[in-house]
Amino acid sequence: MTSVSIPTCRPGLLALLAASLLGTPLAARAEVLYKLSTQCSLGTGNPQPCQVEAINEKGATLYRQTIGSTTETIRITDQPVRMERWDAQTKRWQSLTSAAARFSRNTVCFNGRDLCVVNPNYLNSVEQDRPEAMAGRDLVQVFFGKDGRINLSCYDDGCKKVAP
Amino acid sequence: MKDAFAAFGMALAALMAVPAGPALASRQFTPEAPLAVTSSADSLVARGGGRVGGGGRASNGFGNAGTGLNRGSIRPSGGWSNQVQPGASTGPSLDRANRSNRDRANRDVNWNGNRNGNRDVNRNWNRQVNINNVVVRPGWARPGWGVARPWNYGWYGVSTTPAWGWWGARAALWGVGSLATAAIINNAVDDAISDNYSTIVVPNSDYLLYYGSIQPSGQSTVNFVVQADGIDYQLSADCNAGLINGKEPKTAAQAELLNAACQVAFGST
Repeated sequence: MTSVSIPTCRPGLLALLAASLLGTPLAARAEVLYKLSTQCSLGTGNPQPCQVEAINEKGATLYRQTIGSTTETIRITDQPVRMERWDAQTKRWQSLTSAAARFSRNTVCFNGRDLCVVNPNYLNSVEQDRPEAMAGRDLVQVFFGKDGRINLSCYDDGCKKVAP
Repeated sequence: MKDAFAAFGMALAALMAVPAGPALASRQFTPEAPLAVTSSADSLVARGGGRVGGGGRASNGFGNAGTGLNRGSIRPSGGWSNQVQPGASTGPSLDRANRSNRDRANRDVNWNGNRNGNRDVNRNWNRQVNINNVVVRPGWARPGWGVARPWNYGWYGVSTTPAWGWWGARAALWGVGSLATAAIINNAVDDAISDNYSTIVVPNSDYLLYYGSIQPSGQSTVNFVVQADGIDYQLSADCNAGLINGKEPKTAAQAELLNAACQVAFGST
């Protein structure tokens, strides 16, 4: 009796095969970096449980925060760094005005405190990516100009000088 | 003319600070569009690899004047966390975290005093490492490290009297009543991070623990690097059984080392 072996495939190959069969353009493929159960807040609201899904695609990372029935998506690109929020009404990405991170609270906020998230994963990545620049830092803020690019960065007490 | 030279210098500095590579950002994704998604494998164990940094580029004075935040998509040592443990965080805040139980005296004790010269090395500490090949500053080793640890934590250190089977008899032999508290060890790590040190002095010992090298290898086991007599050793610890490299500690100092590594890895903060 002759046995027949079925070749095994890696999950990535299967996904690639499925994508090609379904006609999904390669450019639209993305990778989920992580899903994080954590806490978020909207505006002056109280902290509430939320889910963060970080999705990597070429040239950008998307952070989809699901807070109850609300979904807030932030897109961050690099070279140069831009941060945008998806406006569901206009169906467009809108540049943020500011973003801030407080390492000791594992918190990152967008557009002032419009959306704040406890996301240690994001901050761990930022910290490890630039250890010399981030050593000893606790508060980091960036502000964006009308062109969507960072036009001001500040750290710790330096941010008091640029407080709005 | 002087102004022209100054402008040229600034332009040159800006050019040197710009990273190489295309400045193209993909615009293909919208939240409504379906995605073909693949998941990356999560792992508690950090990959090896060298230290970040280095390079032979000349300093232009703007090397650390980057943009502050970035995409946050580079996988940090220890991997990604899937859950911020309930109760570990009081919710998002941009206010500086208060450091509870902070006792400045502890800092002096840990860094300068009470070092009793009992550094010792077990015969089975046989794996020396080049610390330059160890990640001693992982992303989680920063302010807020207690919550930032991307693994299960909070279960260790409920008592200063360990439940290790060997503890009672050995502690009596050593004349030790208890081990360093969680607060002492936590403060030592906080201070080291604040002062940009990569080690803490293990209480009541001369061991230097590279706290950033700590990496769980299981639910209650951990790998770490310690320096003894100027030599760096890669060790493992079983925090439930109370073992270092599979052996019971031979001295109180080794018990303190075990306790410190387990507290940083799995303790509450």
